[in-house]
This record gives sequence, structure tokens and C-alpha cells, in this order.
Amino acid sequence: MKDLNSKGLSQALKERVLHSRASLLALGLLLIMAVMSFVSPHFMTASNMRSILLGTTMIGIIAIGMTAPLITGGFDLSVGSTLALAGVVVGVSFNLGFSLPVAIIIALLSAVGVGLVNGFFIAILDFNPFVTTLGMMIGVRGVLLVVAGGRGITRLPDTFTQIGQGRLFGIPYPVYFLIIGAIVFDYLFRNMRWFRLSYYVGDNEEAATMSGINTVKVKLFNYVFVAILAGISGLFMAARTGMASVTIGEQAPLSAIAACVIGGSSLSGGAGTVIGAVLGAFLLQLLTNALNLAGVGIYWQQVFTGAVLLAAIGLDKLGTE
Amino acid sequence: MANNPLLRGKEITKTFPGVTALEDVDFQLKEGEIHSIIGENGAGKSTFARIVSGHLQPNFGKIFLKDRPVRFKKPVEALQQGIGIVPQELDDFPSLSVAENLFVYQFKKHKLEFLNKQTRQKKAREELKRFDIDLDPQTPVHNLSTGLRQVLQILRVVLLDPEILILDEPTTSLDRDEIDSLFTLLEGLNESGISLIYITHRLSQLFELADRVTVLRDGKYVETKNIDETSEEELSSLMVGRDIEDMYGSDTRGEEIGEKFFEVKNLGSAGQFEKVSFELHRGEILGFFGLVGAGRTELFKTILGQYPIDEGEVRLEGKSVSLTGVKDAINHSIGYLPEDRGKEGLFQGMEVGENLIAPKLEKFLDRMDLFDYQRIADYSKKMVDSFDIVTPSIKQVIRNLSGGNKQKVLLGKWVGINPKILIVDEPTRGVDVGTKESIYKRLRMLAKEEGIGIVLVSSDLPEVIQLSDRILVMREGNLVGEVPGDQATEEKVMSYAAGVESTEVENR
Repeated sequence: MKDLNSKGLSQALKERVLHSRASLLALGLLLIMAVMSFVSPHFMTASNMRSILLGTTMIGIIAIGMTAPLITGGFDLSVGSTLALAGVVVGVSFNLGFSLPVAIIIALLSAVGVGLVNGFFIAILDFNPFVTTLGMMIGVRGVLLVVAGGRGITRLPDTFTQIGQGRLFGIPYPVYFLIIGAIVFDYLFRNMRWFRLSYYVGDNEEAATMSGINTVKVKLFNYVFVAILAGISGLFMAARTGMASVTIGEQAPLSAIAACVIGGSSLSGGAGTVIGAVLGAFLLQLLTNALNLAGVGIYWQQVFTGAVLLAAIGLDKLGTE
Repeated sequence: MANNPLLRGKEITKTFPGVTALEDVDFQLKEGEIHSIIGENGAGKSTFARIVSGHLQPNFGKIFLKDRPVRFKKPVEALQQGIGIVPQELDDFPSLSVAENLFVYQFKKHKLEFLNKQTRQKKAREELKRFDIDLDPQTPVHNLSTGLRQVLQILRVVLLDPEILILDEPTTSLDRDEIDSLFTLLEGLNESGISLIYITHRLSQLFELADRVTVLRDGKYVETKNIDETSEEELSSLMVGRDIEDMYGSDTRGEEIGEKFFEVKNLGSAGQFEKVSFELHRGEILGFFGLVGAGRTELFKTILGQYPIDEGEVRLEGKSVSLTGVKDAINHSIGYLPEDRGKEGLFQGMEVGENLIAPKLEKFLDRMDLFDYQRIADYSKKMVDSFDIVTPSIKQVIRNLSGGNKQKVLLGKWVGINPKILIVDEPTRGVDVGTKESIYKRLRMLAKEEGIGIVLVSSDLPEVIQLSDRILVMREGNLVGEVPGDQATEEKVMSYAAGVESTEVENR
């Protein structure tokens, strides 16, 4: 029996690099950055790099979470509402007199609540993920408007806004979270049994059940997982902007799913990596930035973003055939 | 009967990237005959059928229809020339009605007529009556049995009045009754003047049906025989390319069997089965035979805890157990190999290794709950070797393996949990003779050498009879008979299964 594993290390490495979506994406990103540094003198500046990275954080952090339901063959459209919810809850709690850490915990618990509701319907009652999370997306947004009114909450303490606005070695805190989160969760999704189970469930849910895998638990967890990351993303956004907006993140679910798909996730489940998703989010942000610098109008930018998404899926098809 | 063949394939060659599926295949279909094409999985039978019916184009070679060279770029072109195919997998429209499915090929032709639902249903009713099928044309086909859906798939082609009808493994998921009525239908069609090409790898069936048989092996033409001048043994060895003296291996029955260690007492689950009692000994192969719908799969899924137990109990090694699901079963060293390998058995998009370890992931973890990939690789290689799985690497994605090798992975996956009890549900469905042989050998070895109690759930009668120490027969949710393996005949077992004979097994 021939065995690929006995091939030379360099050969194996070459195959891994060429066949991994993440490394292809990284190469593409470097290429765009190289080209852009010639096109625009404003591109390779510390402030522009910082703004791209910071701009990636909102969708990037959600995309880490979105990878989980996508792997099991679902997705979560309610992440934008969860993001706004976390910001509003932290503001409301603080204004009610809770200390900041407690307010943050309450905010994250509210996100967990959204995840549990999604998970309850999808994993336990076997509802369709599209309809369920669409319902939650609309419903939670409605709750926000009821609680906070149309204006949102502007009184947030400085200690809180510091989380979003502060920097270490010139790099904003949310960027650290994104990078560390990407590395840690990518590692866990590759190596830790609990996270690997998602791939089994996504590839063939019935076979997973018949192999002794608790598919309900896995799916339930994944919706809670994405909700927590959406909540964290929401806290950073509220901290960064200094206010808890009720309308923020309406585009977030689709952007996050787009980032994941560009990064190698498949809507039919069984595939996807965290690193790919975060790089996908980075690509979308980089593209916006590059097109801005190149003077391309905002309407045209959407056309480009759409084309990139389709190209990513097209590449995937070519690759598998 | 005309001397010139109705259909002739000459030097048909088809290559796919990396594989030659067909090489220089010659084939002749006489007018009015039923001609069977047989071969193991991967012999090129389906490829040939798809070429003749216009789904694929050959790289080389010609097709002649009544001595006229023809080329089909699309299936429709073949249909227009009178060649229809019924594919292996159901490709009907599950939520559409019987009538809509029947006339699916005719929508274009009769555009206006079929906009009218009444007319469509009236016509469907007439057609169904013509073939003696009692069905409401309004029923969505997903409510029908696989057998009936298969029949409808045939009828929708027959309604186009083809001269040649190709059937690709039409009996794969049918039970004995359904096969019988299918054969009656096919014989009727043949008598009405349709020539049939019948593709199968099930030898036992074709003697009832075919006039001639052509054997393919590894994409090459081997031989064409008149059916009354050949035997099952000869055809098997032509298919495999070597003599198969006894596919079932040496009979090890009669050797000592271990102690009784697993008992099911008066088990019942509402609407599925009732009062089922049996026992299993170490080292025993216990056959479970029954027609589709007899409740065998439901029984074992209930024992595993997939369905609720309404009455009765299950005892393992003297202790009463109530399993809560597959995980719990695995923890009790009970493995269940499901009947549908694609749907419930394997992870098609995942690697060979990942599939092999699926039921026992925790065996491959380090202290941090992280996978030890070295151990997984070592284990997977060992299993690949031991089960003779043909794959370029343990990293190969299951989807790319042949049916037989997929089944070996599935068996390896369950043998790997070191079971005390291994329940195998239709372990050789849709696999070639060579794989069958190796699976039989393995099951015997597991029982006789390792003392595993094996429950063989199967609708393959010869297989149950050849392998089992004892055979239990189920019908309509009841255990209706027990036959010692060495005294079993097909007639005897079948008579219980079909309800001709019935001595209720006493409740112990």
C-alpha cells in the first residue's frame, strides 16, 4: 500500500500549503498588500494598518464564532442583534448601578441567552436554522428598541470605553483579542475532541448519532459559542464607539458568513477553519480599504465584495473537481 | 428473431481522469431478449449503461442501433431513438405526485394537456391500471415504498414506448416480494416487445430473468453466455477472475460455542415489534432474517436505546441493562454496524482515519483532551492493513473509495471498539464478491477466535444460511421461527419469513 505520509517532508509541506485555504488566502492578502503599497503611499502607514486591523475586529470576532454552526451545517443570522444586545445590556446594567465587571458578565449572559434559544429550537426541536435565527434576529432587535428606545445608550464609563480604545504597543486591544482568539480557537478546532465533533456532525449527522456522538449537545453548544463571540464583539464595538447603538451590526451576519465562506467554510457543513474565517474577514476589510484609497466609490465597492465572494466559491468548486 | 443485433457496442472505451472505466468493450443486444450485464463493483457496468443511454460519451468506439451508427450527446437523444434507462439510484421527485412523476418526460410534448390536473390524473390512472398497479395518482411519491417508487421510475420510461430499456441494479434496495413483482413486470414488458439490458451484481437473481449474460471485469469484456449454458459458480469466477470455491469460507459451525451472555426477554416497542425474546452466546453467529418491514432494524435500534422500550428487558452478562443510545452501547462494548452505509455509517467527506476512530475518539486523546495524531495514524494504518482496505493513504477522503472498501472501513470502525457483541445490519449490501468473501471470513474469525457474539441481520438468504449458527426469523414485528444453521434451507427460512409456516418461538 502506497502511503503519502512517507513522502519527503518538503513535499508534504508543499501539499499542505497548496491545499489549505488559509495559506492560499494569506498569500493572496500579502499580494494585495504588496500591490497596494505601490499604488498608494498612504497604504503602508501605521495608522492605515491600525485602521484595517481594528476594522476587521467586529466581523472577525463574530466569524470565529460563526465557524462553529457553519461546520455543523447551520448558521446564525441573529449575531448582529446579539452584538447590539450586548452593548445595550452593558450600558443599561451599568446605569442601573452594577459594577463594570458585573455589567459585562450580565451582557455576556444575555448573549448566551440568545444562543440558548437558537440552540433550543435548532438542536433540540430540529427547527430550520434560517427561520429560527431570522426570527431571533428580528425579535431581539425589537427588544432592544423597546428597552433602549431608538437612541441607544450614550452614558458609558471611561473604564469601559478604554477596552475598545486603548492600545498596547500602538495596537488597539480588540486587535489582540482577535488575533489571540483566532489562534487559540483555530488550534482547538483542529485538535480538541469536543470541537472536532462538529466536523463529524456536519459531515453526516445521522452517522454521527450512530457513532455515539451527542449531536444535540454539539449543535446547542455551537449556537451558544457564536452568540458569546457576537456578544464580545458587541462589547468591543460599544467600547470603541463610546455608545451602545440599537441599530449597529445589521449587516454583520451576512458579512461574517461571507468571511467564513471565503475562508473555506461550506454552507452544507463539514468544512471550515477559524483561521480561514478570520483571514476572510481581513480580506473583506482590506478590500474596502484598498478600494477607498484607490478612489473607488462606495457603491462600486459592494460590487467588488460580491465578486470576491463568488470567486471564492468558484475557486472552491474548481479545487474539489 | 432477427439475425442482426438490435444494439451493438464496438470497442467502447471510456476514461476518466486517472481511471480507465471501459476498454474495448463489445456488446450485442438481440431483439426481444433480456440481456444481463454482470460484474463486480467498478467493473464498468454502469459506465457502459450511461454511454449507451447518452449520459456519457465514449472516448473511443461506436454504438450501432440496427446497424446504423449513432451518437448520443444527451440522454434525450437516446430516448428519442428508443433507448431508455432506469438509473441505479432513485431520481424521482419525492414531493410531487405519482401522476407528475409518471409524466415527467412528457411535459414538453404535451404542454397544454398536462397543465390540466384532471386530465393528468385520469391518464395516470389508466396507465397504472394497464400495469395492474393500485395507486392513487395524487399521492406524493415520498409516501410510497422504495419498491413502488422503483416501479414508477420504470413506468415513466416505459410510457415513452422505448425499444430498449436499460435497468441499472434495480433490486438493490428491494425485498424479495418487491423483486418478484418487479420481475413479473419486466417479463411482461419483454413479452410486449421491449428488449432489456439488466445490470446487476446479484447472480442468484438473473437466472430467473435473463436470456443471455455478458460479464465485465475491470472495464473489459470477458464473455457472453447463454443463461442455460452456465452456472452461478462459473459466472462468479468469471466476474472475479479466479475460482471462488466457496465464497462463504470453511464452515466452522458445530465447533463449541461459548456461554450464554446476552439475553433479550419479552422486549416490545409499540407499533414496531412485540414480545421478542432471544439469547446470544459468546462466539456465536446469530442470524436474523426477515423481509423489509419485519422489524429487525427497529428491534436492534431499540436495544441500543435509539427507540424507547415499552416492555421487557435486556440482560448483559447476567445484569439487566437499559442502554441510552449508541454511546452507552459502545461503553458496554456493543457495536452496531448500520444497514445504510452512506446515510448512517460513514462520514463521506472525511478521511479514512477519521472514520475509523469515530466511535472511540476518547481513546486517541492526550491528557488535555487534544488528539494524538500520531496514535491515530498508527491505529488507522494498522486497521487499513488488517482489513485490506485499498486506499492511497489514511488521509484519503471516504467518498473516493469504492463501495467494497467503504464497507471494510465501516466494519473496521466497529471492530475497532473491541466489542463483546457486534450487530451487523446488512453487512454486505451492495458490495462485490471479493469484499463479501473477506467480510464473511472476518465475521467468522471474530466469532470463533475472539469469542465475540455476532448478530447478523440480513435479507441475503444464502448469507444468513451459510454463516449463522442459529437463524431467527422475524415477521411483522414478531419472532416467528428459529432454525438451527446446519439444518436451514432457503425454503424453510423463507416459509417462516413469508408467514406460510409459523411456530411461535416460546417465550423463555
